[in-house]
Amino acid sequence: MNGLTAAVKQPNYKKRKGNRIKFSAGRDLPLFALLSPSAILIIIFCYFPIYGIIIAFKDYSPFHGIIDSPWCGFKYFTAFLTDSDFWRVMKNTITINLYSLVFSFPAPIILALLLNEVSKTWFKRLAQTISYLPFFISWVVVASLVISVLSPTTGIINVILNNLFGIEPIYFMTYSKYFRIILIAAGIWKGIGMSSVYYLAALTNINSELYEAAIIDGAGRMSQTLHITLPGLRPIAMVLFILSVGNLATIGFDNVFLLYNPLVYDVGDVISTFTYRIGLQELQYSLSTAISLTQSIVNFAMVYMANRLAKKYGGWSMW
Amino acid sequence: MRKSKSRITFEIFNYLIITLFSLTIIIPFMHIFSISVSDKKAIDASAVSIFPVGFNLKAYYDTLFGPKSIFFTAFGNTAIITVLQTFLGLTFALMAAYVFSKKFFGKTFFTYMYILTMYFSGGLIPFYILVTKYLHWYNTYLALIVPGIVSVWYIIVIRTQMEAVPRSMTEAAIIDGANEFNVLLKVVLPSIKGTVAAISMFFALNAWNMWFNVMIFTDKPSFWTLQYYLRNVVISKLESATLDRTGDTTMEALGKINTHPLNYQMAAIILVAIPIISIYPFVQKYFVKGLLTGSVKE
Repeated sequence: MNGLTAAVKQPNYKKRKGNRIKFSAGRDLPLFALLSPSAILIIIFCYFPIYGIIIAFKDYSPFHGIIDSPWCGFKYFTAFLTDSDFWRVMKNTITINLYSLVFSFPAPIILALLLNEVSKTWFKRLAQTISYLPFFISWVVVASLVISVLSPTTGIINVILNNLFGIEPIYFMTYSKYFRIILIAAGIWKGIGMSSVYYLAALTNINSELYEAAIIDGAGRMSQTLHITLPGLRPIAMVLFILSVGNLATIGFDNVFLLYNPLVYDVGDVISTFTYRIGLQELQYSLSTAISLTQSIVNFAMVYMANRLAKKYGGWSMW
Repeated sequence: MRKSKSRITFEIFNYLIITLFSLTIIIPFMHIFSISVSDKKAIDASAVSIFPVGFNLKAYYDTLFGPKSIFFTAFGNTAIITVLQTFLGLTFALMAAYVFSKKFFGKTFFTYMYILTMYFSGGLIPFYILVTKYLHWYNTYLALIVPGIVSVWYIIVIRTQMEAVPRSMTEAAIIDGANEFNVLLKVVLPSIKGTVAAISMFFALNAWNMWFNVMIFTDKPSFWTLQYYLRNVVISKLESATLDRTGDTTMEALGKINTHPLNYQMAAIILVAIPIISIYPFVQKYFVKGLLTGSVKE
């Protein structure tokens, strides 16, 4: 499978000096023309902001603009690195990601394994279609559902707790102890359906002869799952796992921002929401950029390493 | 072959779990819908769970057709943004992918230039400064549409598919006198129809669900997209988004109101979710295929 082909090293087709592609107007100008719209957009929307990173080293003010704002060296870097708020936020980000790894990562695998055992096609198809629904709706809709379902007095959870168990309404969204669970559960709910397609596809790729041979050898279902199914899922699972680990230092903005509130900042405030508030609500442009830059660099290093590992162990590559 | 007893037990267990999981998706929507049509008193008495108590579509009527309704404005904005962003995004991505599938002067340079942007970005603030201060796009549709057009990831996915198009076909077209643009349009494109469909779906979904750019780049309700409208109604509960107030605050007028604010909020959720929910079952296969062939990022 994939792992095997990855282990075979490809011959190194490094470009030697004599093999440089030379410019040829007839061939290249039309191609440049086709490339230009996206290239221009990339220069404007990706590279200009990269240039704009220098404001992390300046006391940027909108009045002076990027060029005329005065330099201030590492002032803002020292500022946030010595700020306990920043480290709390960093800790929250990594903690949430670790919990996510433990719970969100296996979820689609389990769903795929269960769906795979369903023999009635109509049931499987229906279940799959239903499972995809949360993927398509936006985080705004999901967050609205979560907030409504958990709402005190009127949300269905509290309605059931009240009517069946006589429990007083619980303001779930205001407690730090519930926030991580809510966040991660919502994430699982939203992604499990679509994510399971990777594993279901991998399951169909497992050679059925392996199962047949195992049955002949007297292997039970459990044994088959352990020795054929799970190893068959290993390549894709490895790749996805490594990529998830590579993203340990970043976290999505939408879900946290839409679900959190100041009462749960102590566990819920993460790097993305923190830099947003610092930058666009408190208008500390330079500070926010300094934090962003540091985070970008750390993330770049981690994603790069993760990609290298994914390539090595799973035969998968970004390019 | 007779199924063993443990196998039957397992299968019952399996169907049960999958059904329970499916219910976690269906029940919240039933609950939301129920609240949106239920009686005010029932809602306040914690009596509404999965099924409505009473039935009143006033919230829906007001949200869609009421005097202060901005639903259709939001819907229109979302539609325009989706169509434009999908069309432009797809077009530019196809053009770029085609170029990268060939050899040309400076290919390595441009490859690195494009790919670097996937790993490293300037961050939120420089992007914000660019759009508001240097482009002067605050409160414009441009700020909502243009930034979402370029996506290097999709370019890579499409490029891989294009590289699989047989050289013989493209060369035959060139011999017949076609220029590069024509080759792309008439030879390569038809060969990768599936990928094009899948990628355009991803663009469309992304554009349809956009709300953050609306929040940071506009301050007028005329620019609201459906998702941002929903956020204001349910999550941040902005004053201008509530519709059940006629402005008349006398005791008599207030006593006459027999709708619950939640009727409106829940109606908004349902109305905003309906377009996607009604369409996705028919296009889900494109997303599944897109995810698998290109390992497209979500």
